[in-house]
Amino acid sequence: MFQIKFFLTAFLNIILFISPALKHEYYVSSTDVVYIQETSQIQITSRLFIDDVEAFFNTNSSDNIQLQPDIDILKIDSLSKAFFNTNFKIQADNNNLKIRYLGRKYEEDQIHLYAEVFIDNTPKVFKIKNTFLIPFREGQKNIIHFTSNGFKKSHLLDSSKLTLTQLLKQ
Amino acid sequence: MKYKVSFFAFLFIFSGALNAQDNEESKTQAGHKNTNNFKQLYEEFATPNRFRTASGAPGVDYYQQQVDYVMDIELDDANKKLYGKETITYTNNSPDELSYLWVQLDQNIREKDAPALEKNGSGVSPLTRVASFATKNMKDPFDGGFNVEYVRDSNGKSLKTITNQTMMRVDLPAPLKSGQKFVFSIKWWYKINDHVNDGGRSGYEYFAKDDNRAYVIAQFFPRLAVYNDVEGWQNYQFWGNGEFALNFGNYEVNITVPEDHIMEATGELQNPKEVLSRKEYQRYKQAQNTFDKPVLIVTQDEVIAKEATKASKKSTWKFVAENVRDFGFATSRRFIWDMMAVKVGDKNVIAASLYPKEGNPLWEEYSTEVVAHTLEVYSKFTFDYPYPKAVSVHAKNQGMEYPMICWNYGRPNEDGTYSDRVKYGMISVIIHEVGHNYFPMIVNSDERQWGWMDEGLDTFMQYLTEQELDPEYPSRRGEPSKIVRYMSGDQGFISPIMSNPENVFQLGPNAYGKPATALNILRETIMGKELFDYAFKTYAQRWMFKHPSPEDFFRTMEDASAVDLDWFWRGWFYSTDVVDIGLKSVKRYHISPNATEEVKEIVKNYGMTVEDLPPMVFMVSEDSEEFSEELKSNEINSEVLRNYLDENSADFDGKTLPKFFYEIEFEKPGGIVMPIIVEYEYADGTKEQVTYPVQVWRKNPDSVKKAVTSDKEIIGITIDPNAETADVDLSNNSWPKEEVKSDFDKFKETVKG
Repeated sequence: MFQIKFFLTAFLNIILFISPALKHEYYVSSTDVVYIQETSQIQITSRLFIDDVEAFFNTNSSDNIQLQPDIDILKIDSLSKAFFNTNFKIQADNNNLKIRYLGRKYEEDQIHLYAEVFIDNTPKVFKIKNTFLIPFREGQKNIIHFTSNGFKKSHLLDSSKLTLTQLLKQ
Repeated sequence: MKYKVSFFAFLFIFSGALNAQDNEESKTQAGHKNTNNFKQLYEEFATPNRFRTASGAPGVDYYQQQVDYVMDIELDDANKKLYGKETITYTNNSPDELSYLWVQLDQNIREKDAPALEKNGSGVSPLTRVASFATKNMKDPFDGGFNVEYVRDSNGKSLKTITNQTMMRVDLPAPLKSGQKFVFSIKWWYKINDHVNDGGRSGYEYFAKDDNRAYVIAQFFPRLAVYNDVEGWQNYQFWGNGEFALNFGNYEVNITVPEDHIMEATGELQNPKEVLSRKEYQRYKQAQNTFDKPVLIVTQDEVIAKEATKASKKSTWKFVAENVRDFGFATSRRFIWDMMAVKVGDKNVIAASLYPKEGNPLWEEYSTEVVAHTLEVYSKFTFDYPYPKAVSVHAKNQGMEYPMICWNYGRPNEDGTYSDRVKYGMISVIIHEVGHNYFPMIVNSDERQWGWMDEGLDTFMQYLTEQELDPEYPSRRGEPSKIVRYMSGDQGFISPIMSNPENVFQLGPNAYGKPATALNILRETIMGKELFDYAFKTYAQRWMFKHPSPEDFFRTMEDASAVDLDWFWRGWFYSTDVVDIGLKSVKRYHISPNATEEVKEIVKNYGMTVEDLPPMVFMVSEDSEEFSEELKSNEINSEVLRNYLDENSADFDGKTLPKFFYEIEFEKPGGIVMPIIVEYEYADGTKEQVTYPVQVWRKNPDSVKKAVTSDKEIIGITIDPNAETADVDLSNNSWPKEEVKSDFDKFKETVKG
């Protein structure tokens, strides 16, 4: 009897990494940015492939950094935090916002990074800059799903478009 | 009692929906077409005909062309080139006269100036890695594409041709009548691409350490396009995303490679004694009758010994394949080869794997076993695997399918360690690619136009295979909840399943995930396994070795089950609507001795009073102003009713009246109609699941009320408790309303400070 425990990979809902009939690799990340007007809060969840982040961490290090199993917790925590803070920036009405990084979580083959921002006033426009894995991965695409008061807009960012502008619908 | 108005008129007023027409304005309303969710798909489907029946089966005049190939191929390993000569026999089984044939030249997508290279938008990046920058801006583009030396008729005379990108038209010297054959030959060569660095579904991988290549070769020969009753000639260009539409036929292929190469290909090897060493041949024979575990025909040590030298002599491997739609082969001196026999039905099928040492230790342990199990499970749901063998070839970053052979990724680290991710990724891709033998190699749909017909069906079967192996298996695709993120995303990034694969943003979820999930929902929730499995098997067996269109699938599933599915195909396949069903309100009603004001008003309209009515039972809602607490008593608050029950007790067989009366209103913010699966939780802790058929949405697609009675008090109601419907918003699924925590909120709770 052929019995093995499968912990198959979940997939980012964007482009399928494990795509049969695939001609070349797709490198993708997906970030949800949720603006909740009532609580003046922005909730950020970034989802990346563990493989990619692990490979990235290993480029500048001679240690063999492994994200799984999650043994070297503090070290990975600190690397992930620095990674997020360096590569994800958000502005409201041209003011840089201070992002509070909350932590990370693994889900099958993805690493989720969580962060939040509290802002004072309701802005008119957001600017988001996302440079995850650029230019480390050729053709890396970073998708942002912006949600606010029931309206949704998705943006596709890559090495030629690192920043998006999102107006808030009143 | 004097009845001024017919009793039935009152029944009509008090049951069903009351529609008080309050037309304040006299403006003329605009009309509309039939937009009902349950409208049958007459307008979307082609009119059934003698080629394809309304049942979804091949019709009495169904035809398909047959194309046979005899090929001599030579691989120039040193120069990475492939040379070929083929004689093609095209049999026109159509009733039509053909004046030209279309031949597909897929390698032309790699020509230096191929339009496909420019098919996507791009911008300038402020930062690029230096190697990429140099390659992009300074290197000569790859000089790919077919170099066709001649196209000649059976007498050796040149034929007139014209090439349009990846399609070449061969103008026939005389029209080809129905039933006639046309024989012609083509000679060509092309440069083989480095599939690891340049992409592609075939090519080579270069191993610098020993200066050797591993080849996975496909799309390597000019081959006929499909001519059929649905498309005429399917000559939509090959742009890279839309895959292949191909004809069935018989192949005889002779492939010349360096004599130290080991090869697998579509078809049965005709001359193993010639091309294998004595030892290898013995093991090969042994494998044909070994059922318990794979036999190594070429071992890792033997391969390592070979890697250092390159044979200068050649040998020719001869393969014959019957009734296949394509041909692929893999060859290298770096290949380890294992093989075993599998019983499928009453036949023996060979399962084999080819892999370089870089695939070990993973590949020797799992690949061939996974091939065998895939064949067993897919055979169960469709038909016994009819081909003599199935091969899994290790190729970096590949996942691609051909008849009887496929390429699969899954490479451990150099030191032989591998993560669970790598292992399970490999196993799943092998299942998927071997599964493609069924869809589209045998159930031969048009991949160029409909990516989902093979990818969606195969991914669905892959899910079933995974669940058969381990019921706890958290499959990546198939679970309804897993498709919610995609379906609920920005509509600008979503296309209906019924779209050409070239034109969609998220091809993975669009052609693989969503259709696989939809079929899973159809099987588990809408039709049930028994009806679904029978209909699915019927479809597979009707169309094996034939060319089905989407409608043939849609019609068959309904025809063989008596489950109306037009609403399902329309919602899930033809639109980008979502499922969102919720609870709008829950009202408890009580029997009342008195008519409410509402009743009195309506009675007045007929010039009557309540006293004029025949015996009636009045009910009042708990949230009405006319409700009084005393109505909550356990007594039956209606003398009329008490009397009636006493007088007629014999009719009711000792049963008692329900104690609880509810009016539950369901709403449907999402566009897709689905059955309403409700779980009622009672005060005594018990639960009951009830499913209201999807037909409840027939007349009003936005909301529907249900009157529910019970002996026990309902304290909780949940819609879709087992997450079967891919409901995108669970916040309206519960009564009392439950707060559904977002993933973000759940995580934040775990963070200290």
